[in-house]
Amino acid sequence: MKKIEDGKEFYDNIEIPEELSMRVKKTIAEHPKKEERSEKKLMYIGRYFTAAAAAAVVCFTAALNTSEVFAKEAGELPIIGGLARVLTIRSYESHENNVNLAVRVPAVEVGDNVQDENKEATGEMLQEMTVEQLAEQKEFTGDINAEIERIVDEFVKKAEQDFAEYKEAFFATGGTEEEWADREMDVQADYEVKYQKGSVLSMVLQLNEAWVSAYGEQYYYNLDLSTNRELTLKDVLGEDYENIANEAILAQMYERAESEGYVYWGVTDTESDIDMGGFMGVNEETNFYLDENGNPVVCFAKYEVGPGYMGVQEFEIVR
Amino acid sequence: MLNKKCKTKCRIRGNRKRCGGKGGENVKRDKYDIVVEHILDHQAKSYRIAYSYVSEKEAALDIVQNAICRALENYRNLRNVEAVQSWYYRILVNEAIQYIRKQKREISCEPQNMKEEVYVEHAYEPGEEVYRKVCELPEQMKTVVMLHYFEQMTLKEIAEVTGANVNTVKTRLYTALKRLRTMVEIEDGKENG
Repeated sequence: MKKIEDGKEFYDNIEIPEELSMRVKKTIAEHPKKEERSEKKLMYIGRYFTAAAAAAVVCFTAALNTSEVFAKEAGELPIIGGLARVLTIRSYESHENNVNLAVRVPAVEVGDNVQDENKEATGEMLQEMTVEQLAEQKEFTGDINAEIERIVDEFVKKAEQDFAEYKEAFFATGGTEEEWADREMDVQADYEVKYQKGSVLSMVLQLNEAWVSAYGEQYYYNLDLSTNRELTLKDVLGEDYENIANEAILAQMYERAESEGYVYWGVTDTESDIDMGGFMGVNEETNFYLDENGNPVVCFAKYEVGPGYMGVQEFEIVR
Repeated sequence: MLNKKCKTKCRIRGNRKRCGGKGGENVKRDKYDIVVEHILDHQAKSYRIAYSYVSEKEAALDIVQNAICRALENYRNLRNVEAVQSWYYRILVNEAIQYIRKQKREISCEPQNMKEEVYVEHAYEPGEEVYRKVCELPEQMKTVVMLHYFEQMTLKEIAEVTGANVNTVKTRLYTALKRLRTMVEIEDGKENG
């Protein structure tokens, strides 16, 4: 006579590996309460930017993926051809205390110099501007630049702090100096100009930290310098933008689910309703950049619409 | 689907506004501590559950680790701290299922990497045989049987973990038991949940 409860005895005796407790503690140590930091950021962005902050994400297996963005040598596009240009205002690398820093901070420049260079290169003046218009433009881009600098500085500072805390937890949970020696943390900040034409500029700021886990943040800037505001999907796709974008995104999700076996919570995976995010349709705060054709590419952070191993998910909406 | 998700969005916005308030912060601090405490107290259980999905030590450890990450990245989404158990199991079960699905995909892409399954005739003790058969059940049925009989959760709790309603859970349990019975002629000990 066998009963299903007999299985419980075997189940209860499943051997618990020694390293479990160490790994649990370590993982917890790597995730300190960080609500203060991220909430401040969310609030700030909510107030000043139409692009919402990318969700904070962590995935243990994705350390290799994170270098991809940087491998493309971001930001090396020609800068001529618009009302603004993007410059690297600060760039540094350092290797101290097992932390490898590689930082490039961009800034958007506007004004006579940019216009003159543009005229020289293309032979035409894009737009005559009054002193007031130029002042407005400078104020707008100045705010953006200050924000970018602040985001990068905070990210680097937080990463170094995280690493110090991790080090502490590492020794507290029985790690040795010897084991510690080959542990390194990579912190990268970089940007990529995705599109630049006339008064429109699209740029992505990418921040990564990689050690035991990989953590990345992306910020999307789509600037219109003729109106001095950030573009939303509605500006790009028109009044019916929600339907257009949702339809295109859903179609691509189903396609990728079929071809890549990807899982999109609430879309291709309705069975395991996990109540944390998933695709909920686009809105005016949805993250996107403009690709070289000027088409919006909607971006979802890791874990925003599907499991972490899928990384950042991008969907081009053809206009 | 879209409507329901929008609620999540609003909740996030609500938090954003509140974030200056001291009261809200205290609640959140507690939340973090509660989640951490729960993770620490239930690590062995979590491991056993994960192990039952993958039958492999390293994979089970990975799943537990991923679930902790997930929980601590999202603990603010935990609305009711009393539901921390079902909330955390839900994350764990999901991570386990995602892990299996991902692995299946990788294996089907690279057939040369497929492990050759060696069939060994074990001298199973009755408990082990039953356990193995439970592990062989399809994911959803396995989840229900495991949580109910091994973790001794009520069907209502299981419904919270799996996000299915109680009737669905019941159906899954009975189908699973029926299947198990044909597999190992188990004498079903429990009639109701």
